[in-house]
Amino acid sequence: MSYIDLSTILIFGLFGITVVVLAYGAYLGRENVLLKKKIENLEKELTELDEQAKLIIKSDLEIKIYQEEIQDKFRKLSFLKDFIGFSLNILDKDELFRRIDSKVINELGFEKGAIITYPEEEIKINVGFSQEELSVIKDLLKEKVLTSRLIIYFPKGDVEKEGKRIFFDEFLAGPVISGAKISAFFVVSKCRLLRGISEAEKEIFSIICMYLGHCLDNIRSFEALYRAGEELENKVKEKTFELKKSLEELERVSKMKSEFISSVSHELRTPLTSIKGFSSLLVAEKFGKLPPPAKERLKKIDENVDKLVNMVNTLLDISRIESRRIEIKIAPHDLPQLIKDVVDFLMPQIDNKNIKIELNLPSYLEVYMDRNLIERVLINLINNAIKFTPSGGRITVSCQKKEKKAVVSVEDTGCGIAKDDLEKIFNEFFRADNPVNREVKGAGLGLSLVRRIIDIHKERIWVESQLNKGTTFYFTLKLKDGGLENGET
Amino acid sequence: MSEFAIAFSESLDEKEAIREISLHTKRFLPRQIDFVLLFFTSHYRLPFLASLIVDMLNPKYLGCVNTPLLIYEGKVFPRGIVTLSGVFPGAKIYFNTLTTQTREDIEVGLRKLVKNVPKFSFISTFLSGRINLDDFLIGLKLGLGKRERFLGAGFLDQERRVFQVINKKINEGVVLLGWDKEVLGEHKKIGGFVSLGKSFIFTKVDFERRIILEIDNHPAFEIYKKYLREKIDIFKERKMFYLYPLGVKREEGYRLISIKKVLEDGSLLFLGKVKEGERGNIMILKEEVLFEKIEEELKNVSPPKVVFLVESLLREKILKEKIKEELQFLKKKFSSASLVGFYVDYCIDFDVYFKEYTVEEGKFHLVLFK
Repeated sequence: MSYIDLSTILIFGLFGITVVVLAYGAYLGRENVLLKKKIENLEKELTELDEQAKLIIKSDLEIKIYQEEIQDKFRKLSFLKDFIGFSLNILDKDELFRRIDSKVINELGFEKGAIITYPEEEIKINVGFSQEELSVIKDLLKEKVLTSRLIIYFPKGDVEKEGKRIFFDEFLAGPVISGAKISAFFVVSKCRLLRGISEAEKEIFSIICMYLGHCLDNIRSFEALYRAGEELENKVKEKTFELKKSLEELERVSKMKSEFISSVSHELRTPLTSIKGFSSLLVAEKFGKLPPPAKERLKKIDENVDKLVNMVNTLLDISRIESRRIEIKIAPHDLPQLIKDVVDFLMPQIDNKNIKIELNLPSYLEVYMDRNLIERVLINLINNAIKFTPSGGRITVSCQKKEKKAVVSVEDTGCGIAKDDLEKIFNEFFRADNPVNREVKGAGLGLSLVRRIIDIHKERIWVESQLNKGTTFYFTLKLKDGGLENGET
Repeated sequence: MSEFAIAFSESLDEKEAIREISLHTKRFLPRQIDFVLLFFTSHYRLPFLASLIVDMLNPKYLGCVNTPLLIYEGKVFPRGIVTLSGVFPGAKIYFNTLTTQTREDIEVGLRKLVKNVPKFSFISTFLSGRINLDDFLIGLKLGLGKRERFLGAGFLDQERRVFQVINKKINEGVVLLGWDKEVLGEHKKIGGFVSLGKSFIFTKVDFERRIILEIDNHPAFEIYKKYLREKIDIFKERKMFYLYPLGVKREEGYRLISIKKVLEDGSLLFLGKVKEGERGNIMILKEEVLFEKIEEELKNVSPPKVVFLVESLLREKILKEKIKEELQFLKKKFSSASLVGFYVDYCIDFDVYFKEYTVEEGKFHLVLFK
């Protein structure tokens, strides 16, 4: 092969190689661009993936925080229920504050807590605070909470005090208001919760502050009530002692009076019997004829002796009843019959005064009574009615069954009794001020005796009256067999 | 054939509680009992419980663990006593006593145990909150070598304590147990965490001090700043790292790294295992995919007699009420088996990649007894 041939082949060969290299270069260039694009896309996808990851983590964290918050709210509600439950009946201030322990502070979501009384500034509870921190907190409380009386949040900070820098954590402070005054400050600090101090913490904290205030109010009321109760008890004891003494004195005097009346009456009765005997004989002219003026005066003496004897007898009866020296025989008796007997006995006086008598009585009614004593009651009451009823007037004696009692009433159409006197008429020696009493003399012992007799029977007596219209006396007696009449079962 | 009995009592009277448990256990295991594992909450006094169990059940071995929460038949109890008792005719349980917990003691104790335990047996250990974890890990490495069939569970809280009673003597610190392969079937570890976003590289790690200094050549904390943006302050202040642990990429999945604290320079104090140059991701426990993941993990498991669950307190913190659903799901899955367990802060298992024992928080372990 010639040199020319060889060089031609070489040239063509080189050309061919160049073409191939260029073509491969172009191919590699295209591949490189594609690869770069692929890498770019991959990078883009990874960046997108990363962005998505950021979103996932962000939303996951938010959900976790909310979950925590909800759980915390449930926990707090449950805590509040428990706290109120166990502090509801505490009636001692120190004991109440002692309940705010580390557990309660933790349940509220904090690590530190303190209760400082005001105005004493005494630290009642301290969970986790240093003395320096508390001294700074006290100053801040006086500065802010005392004036605002609100729950206040203090961010963490530092204060220069006595040449020293004192750091304090963020804290919540609230007043414990009792009786419209600040009694203490409650402080919590160092929140343990993921979300920090939120409105929920402030709300629950303010509830606790308010509740503590109510508890203090309760304690105060209880203490005041207790003191008042104690004072009252002492007064009652004092008065009871005084009353007991007075009663003993009264009983002693009453006994002395009864004994005096009893002995005087006894002493009076003997000479009175003698005087009565002789005056009756003299009036009956058993010792000879008397000149009319002398007879007239002797008659008056005889009448007054009768009254005196009557009075002495009544006094003796009262005295006997009071000193329980009278023999009482309570047994079933027919009450209407007794009333009729008494009315018959008093009929001459009734006729004398031209008074109309009306009886409203059942045919037969057995009651438990001492017949003689009730007879005295009826005589006294009807006698009084006769005395106070003017001529031409009317007296009504009734007997009615009411539940298990017999109610006897004696009604007259006399002058009546003034309202103020009604309560006093059963008192010994009391005489109502009226024209009849002014005219007719009396000792004021009859109604007193009547009341005592009814008292012995453990029954009631009362009076109703209207001035110038009349008076009605009522008394009750217990029915035999619940008041069954003959034939009834 | 091995036989088991689980029992539970909520009675606060220790005598009554153990009587109740003993009666129940004896009904199923009337013969000599080989072992009793007793889990109890802080409401009870251990010496009473231990002496009562020894008197009433007289097991050859008694291990006791004080835990904050108990699991019994798929339910969580904050108060009570749970026991897992068993007899293994023809099979064996191996145990060893550690009277002190120095690195050397642990090593020697484990060596003695390994000497007796056949190669394919399973070794389990429960650790008191008072034990030095670093020392234990070194002792473990020296004592066990590279034994894959291992599970450790322990507490970070010093009040949580672990005891074992051998020959009526109570020893505190570590429970060391070796199980014949005839007794113990499988061991499963399930997390359910998923990775998020772009993967990153752990560029600077001080493993001795357990500090991640840099990620992608930036202060490690920047990775959280990137994902949490405006929420980062509240996240940091409220120490919410437990919600999003870091995951170290492995062939079989991710190993979790729990962040315990942010240091001033932006580096992260951690619990777990990571080396410089490893890739990782931020992790999240999504409830939506959790049950699918569990189902997938337990797909080919043969039905056990007893499921022993070592649940994570971290999971409880993240899942809250949802963890009860997780337990119910497991109970349903193993409906024919008894489900019993307790809660721990961390677990230790063998990392195939590192060929080392590694601490991890946030996953639960299932030990399935045949």
